[in-house]
This record gives sequence, C-alpha cells and structure tokens, in this order.
Amino acid sequence: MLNLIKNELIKLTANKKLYVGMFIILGVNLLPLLEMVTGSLGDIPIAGQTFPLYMLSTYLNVVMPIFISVLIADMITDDYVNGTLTLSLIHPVSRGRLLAAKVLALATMITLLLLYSLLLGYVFGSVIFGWGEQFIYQDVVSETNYTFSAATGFVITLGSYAVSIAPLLAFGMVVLLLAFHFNSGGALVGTCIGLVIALSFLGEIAQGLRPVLINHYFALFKYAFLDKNTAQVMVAVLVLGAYSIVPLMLSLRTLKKKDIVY
Amino acid sequence: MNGEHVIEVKSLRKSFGPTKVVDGIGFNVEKGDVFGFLGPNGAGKTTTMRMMLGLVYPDEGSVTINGYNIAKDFLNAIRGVGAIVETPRFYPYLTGRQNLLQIANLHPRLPGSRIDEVLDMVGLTGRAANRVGTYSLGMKQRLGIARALLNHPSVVFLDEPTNGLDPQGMKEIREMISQLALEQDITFFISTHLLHEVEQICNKVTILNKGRLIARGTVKELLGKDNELVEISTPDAGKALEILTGIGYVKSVKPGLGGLEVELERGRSAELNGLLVSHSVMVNYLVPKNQSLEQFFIELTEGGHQVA
Repeated sequence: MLNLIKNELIKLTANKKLYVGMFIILGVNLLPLLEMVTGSLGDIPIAGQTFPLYMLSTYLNVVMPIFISVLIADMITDDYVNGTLTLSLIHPVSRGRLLAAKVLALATMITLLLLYSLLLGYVFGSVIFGWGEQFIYQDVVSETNYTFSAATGFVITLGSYAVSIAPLLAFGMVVLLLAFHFNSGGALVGTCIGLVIALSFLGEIAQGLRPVLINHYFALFKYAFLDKNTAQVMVAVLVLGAYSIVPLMLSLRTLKKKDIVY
Repeated sequence: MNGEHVIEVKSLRKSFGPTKVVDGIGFNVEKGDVFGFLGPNGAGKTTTMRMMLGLVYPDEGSVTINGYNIAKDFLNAIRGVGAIVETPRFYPYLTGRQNLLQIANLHPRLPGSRIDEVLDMVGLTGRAANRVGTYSLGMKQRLGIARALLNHPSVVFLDEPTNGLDPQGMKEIREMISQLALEQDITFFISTHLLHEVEQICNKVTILNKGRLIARGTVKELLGKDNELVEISTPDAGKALEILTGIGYVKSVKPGLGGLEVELERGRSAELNGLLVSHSVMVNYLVPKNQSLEQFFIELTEGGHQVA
C-alpha cells in the first residue's frame, strides 16, 4: 500500500499543476497587501500571528476546493482517459487498494498544502503587518472579536488548519465520485467550480438548507476553536462523515464495476 | 512447448449497449507459443485482450491465465503477466526510469537493478533520465516493451509491438520476441495488423472478424494446406487451359498475367510441367506462388468463413 501511495505522490509532485497552484496560493497571500494599500481592510485587526487564520477562510472557500478538483481530475479522470490507469490495473493490484492509495495520497497533499499555506501566512503576515502584540481575531461576518495570548493563538491557528483537512477531504470525496463520470479533467474542474459557486448561492438564498450543505462546514474550525460549540461540531462530524463515506463507497463500487476501455 | 495451456479462453461474449463486440470466442495458448491474434479494425481484438487482462468484464465466458481464473483470482492470474494494451501510455512528465519505477513499485520483490536490465534490453539506457514527453513514438514503443518485461512475466500480451518503429527497430523487436520465447520460455500473445510479422515470429494464429473466430491453427497449417499455387508463363495459355481442365490433381485454373495461375495438389508441379511439354505447350517458366497469410486473411475476412 505504501508503494501505491508513493506512486501517486510521485505523479502529483512531478506535475506542473501543483506548482502553478502553489504559486496561486502565494499570490493570494499578497491580496491583503493590496487591500491595505487601497484601505479596504477597514478596522480589521490583522497582524502576523492572526494573518494565517484570516487567510484560512479564503483557502477553504475558494482556493482549496478548486485545487482539490484539479488534483482529482489528474488522479482519476485524466488517468482513466489517458489510458494510464490501465497500467496499474494490469498488475497485481486490486481496484479497491488503488482507490484507497489515491484517497490517502489526496489527504497527504491536502495536509501538505495547508501546511504550506500556514507557513506562507505567517511569513507574509509578519512581513506585511508585523507580528503584533496580541492575538485578536475578528469574525468578519459577526464582527465578534476573539482575543487570546500569542501561544494560545498559535495553537488555535494550528488546530484550525488541522481540522480543516476534514471538510476538504469530504469535498474531495464528492469530487472523486464525479470524477468517475467525466471523460475530461477540464470539464470536471469546471463543474466543481460551478458546484462551489452554486452551493454558496444556495446557502444564501435558502438558509434552512445550510446544515446539509458541505460548504457550510468549511467553517468547522470556527465551531471548534472560536465558538467552542460542541453540538455544532458533532453535527459537522456527522454531516462530513456522511459526505465522506457515501461518495467514497459509491466511487469504490463504480471503479470495481467499471470496464476500463481506454 | 509441452502442451500446457498457459491461457484458456472459453466462450467469451461482450456487448457494449446493442453492439455485440465479441461473440462467443474461445482458444488456448500453450506454454512457449508466440501466438498471433489477427483481425481487421473493429473485429474485437482489443476488447478481447482487455477481457483477458481483467480490464473489461465479459458478459459471458471465462479466461484462465497460468491456471487462475482472471475474474475469480485476479491477483494470482495477473501476477505473471506483462502487457501493452493499444499504444503504450506513459506519464509524459516523468522520466523513462520513473515510469518504470511506477510499475516496479507494484512488485515489491523486484530488485532495483531490473529497471536497468530492461532499459538495456531495449536500448534506452542513455535516455532513461529524460522525460517521456520528449521521446519519439519508436522510443515509447521500446519503453513499453521494457515495461511489459519488467516483472519477469511468463506471459506477455503485446498490441502492435512494432508500431512506429523503423525497419531496423522492427527487426530488433521481432528478434527479441523470438529470442525471449525461446530462451526464457516466455509465452507471447501478439495482436498485430502486420501479417508478415505473424508469419515471421508467430507459431500459431487466431483470426477474428466481427467478434467471431474465423480461423485458428498453426501458421504452417493455415498457409500450407494440401494444395499449392503455381504461376505458368506460356504463350499458349488457351491450349494449356484446355489440357489442364479435367486433370484430377489440378484443382483450379484461371488466366493470370502472361499465362495461367494453377492450384494443384502439393508436389505435382513437375508432373504438370511434363504434361504441358508433352502436349507441345511451350512453358517459359513455372513459378511456385506462396499464399501469404495476408492473402489468406483477406480471403477469410471477405468470405465470411467460420471456424469449423
């Protein structure tokens, strides 16, 4: 199994798309600088120690879902259509193990990309805004201020990035299922971008649906570390669990029954 | 060859929607065979090969490789197999060596030196560090063969193995296949449209048309038959035709270029020549005309023959 995961990671890390994505994350970190220059940041108390937590929402709602779609398009749809999926399947590897390796490789990549984003956030935040004396995080929507010591703030930031792997991986499982039904990686990515936008609109126009929408749980870190709302966290675990397991099982069933014709 | 069936295909059927692609085919491949799998485009060759490798699920029928049923015991059945299905596919952004490493990683007991061995066998050692995206079609074909041989397979499936190679490359690959079959006892299952390739390297052949098996046997059997064809060059074609009509060992006579084309019982051509000369028919020359597998193939596929 480790060799299968290694194979997937070699392919992902040798692909230019990964580095394009990392460059985009780097560019996203510079956006607040632009906002600072234009004055659109207002009174939001940003400092180097809080900057990664502010950036996390942007990563979770926009950058990472697109990035995950691109990675899965490469790992599944393009791998199948290009005929390279066949290469593994004509060797003693079961389809279930291959899928498991791809999912674990995806989880590894999500973790590494979040870690990269976290480090960039600290570097850019400190350079642009200075480290700051206190950890003050303002929820942009509710305008609630959360104040912690620098050490607690660091732990909360680290924890927030860590728990965010769960909703991203759940989103990845939904994309995974879609990936088996597309014959073009580009079309898959386009559909996923459309899905992210549609889910945001749906959440806005039908607020009652929010508890069952996956993007609602991109804010899991807030429930867990800022609001400390245990009930909300439990609901999130259940919903994200369902979003992870059901598509994964359906993907496994699809792959096991699929005729590999490319 | 010891008569042991390395591959057994029984009553394979497959439809995609309403289209019947493979319609009840069956054959056996013995250990050490270089088995040619022929058929025109759309005959169902690739679908059959994919079913044999467990990539496509048959509607009916079974495939056994090295005694293991591919559907019920896939991992054991596929363990001793190497294959190129259609054009060799690679990850173009990985080097030749990295592409082979992807497969070597699926066989944990394979020594690292095996990659160097197969690269050397196909003459790609010098380009192993280059990305496959920079390779020519011929180099990709050679790398594909290296990959198929990587896990020391006992059975190798090759789809158009010399496609894209220059004449020298074709010769080398054919020699390599013959050598591997002979020296390492590897059984080859080769799908190709190059019929002379089958004549050169295969000992057995199965011909497929419209999803059905239309001929099978040794290449020698299919080409040899009981009759032979000779071309007679004579200025007295009319007279010769009269003489030969009704002769027992002459199976057919038809006008040919500068004379006649005669199908007769094997080994009777000297007698035929004597007969014509004794009737004062001037024979300029008499040339045996071998029926190539290509002619045989065209006759079969156009004639809608079925395997008896």
